[in-house]
Amino acid sequence: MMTPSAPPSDAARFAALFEDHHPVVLAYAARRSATEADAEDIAAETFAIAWRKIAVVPAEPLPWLYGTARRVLANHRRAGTRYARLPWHIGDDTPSPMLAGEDRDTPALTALGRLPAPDQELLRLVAWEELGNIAIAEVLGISVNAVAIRLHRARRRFAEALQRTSAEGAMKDSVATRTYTQ
Amino acid sequence: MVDPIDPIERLRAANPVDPHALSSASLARVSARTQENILSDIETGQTTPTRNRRMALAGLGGFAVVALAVFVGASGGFAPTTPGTAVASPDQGDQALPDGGGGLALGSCIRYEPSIIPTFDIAFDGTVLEVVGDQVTFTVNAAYKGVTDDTITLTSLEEGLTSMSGGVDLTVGGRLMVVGAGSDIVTCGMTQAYDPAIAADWAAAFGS
Repeated sequence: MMTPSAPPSDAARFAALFEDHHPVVLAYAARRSATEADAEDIAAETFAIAWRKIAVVPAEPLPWLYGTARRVLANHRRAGTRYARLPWHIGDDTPSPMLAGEDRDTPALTALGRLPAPDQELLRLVAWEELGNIAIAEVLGISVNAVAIRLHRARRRFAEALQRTSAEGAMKDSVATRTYTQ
Repeated sequence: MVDPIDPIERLRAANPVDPHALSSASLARVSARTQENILSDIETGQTTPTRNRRMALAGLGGFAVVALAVFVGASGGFAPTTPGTAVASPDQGDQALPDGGGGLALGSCIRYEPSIIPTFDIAFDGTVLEVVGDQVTFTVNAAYKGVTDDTITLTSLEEGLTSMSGGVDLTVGGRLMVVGAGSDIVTCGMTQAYDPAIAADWAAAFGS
């Protein structure tokens, strides 16, 4: 016989939390993992933590979920698992099927990979998770003011890196064309 | 040279993962693994809800079933169930975990359907060859997915409960229809005692 002891609202809340957010949390993990299985593990662990801490999950849970997923990723990296090797950094890695899109803008990913890790994460949160400064501050555990300052610098560095990457690509194309026509 | 396109827009366009385009199989595996994690907590008494932990523990199984029945129904590939009236697998309805206080019947947490099995990483008909800690080695009688050798070793997530893990008898010599996610055995209504009818269902689900 079932004897529910937790408030039904908590159970329903967890159910809604999972239903509403598990695709975006999986996507978040997939963007930062080398394989599909890694991403699934990260997402599942994140929701298991949400289950344990459902009473303290904020009303707007997404930044909390991303922040939790971020810590889960960091723990796995510290444990020496595979998550640190992102496919756009290391060309030899076999990317997750989730990451195998054919129309990705390689210069943008290459430029991103050339930035310091904190800059990369800020820009990913803006461009891929589409978060505002307040939410980013919650994910990263820093002040909104710090987010604004760091983001300004990260945008500038990314624009510069992108220009360099594009210029390198154009030069390679030019060399390849000359070689082919000779 | 000034790039005419906003760099952030370039990065946005390079987003490698669209949440709306994730495979239902992958989402289903997240659902299954989340359940495994939660149920493992429950079974080993490691669940640490922030409030009323001890008070809640006695009825945690009910809490789990209520929540899991809802959220599993929300994810791809699983049939929805109603809180408090979760549907047990016909093959496992009588198989409950050793009662940890909640009376949790694992068969209630997910509705088994043969069509779900191909969404997992591993599926085979196997006989338990050896159990060492949480590592269970099977002799493979018939491989459906993810098995290339005659034997395979998987992890039982319920360490210490391997003799009756998730309602499944993992003692040496037992023959099972085994489902795996990564290197883990998926219990919770998926892995089950061998039955020729189930084997036929799986063969049909895999188109063999």
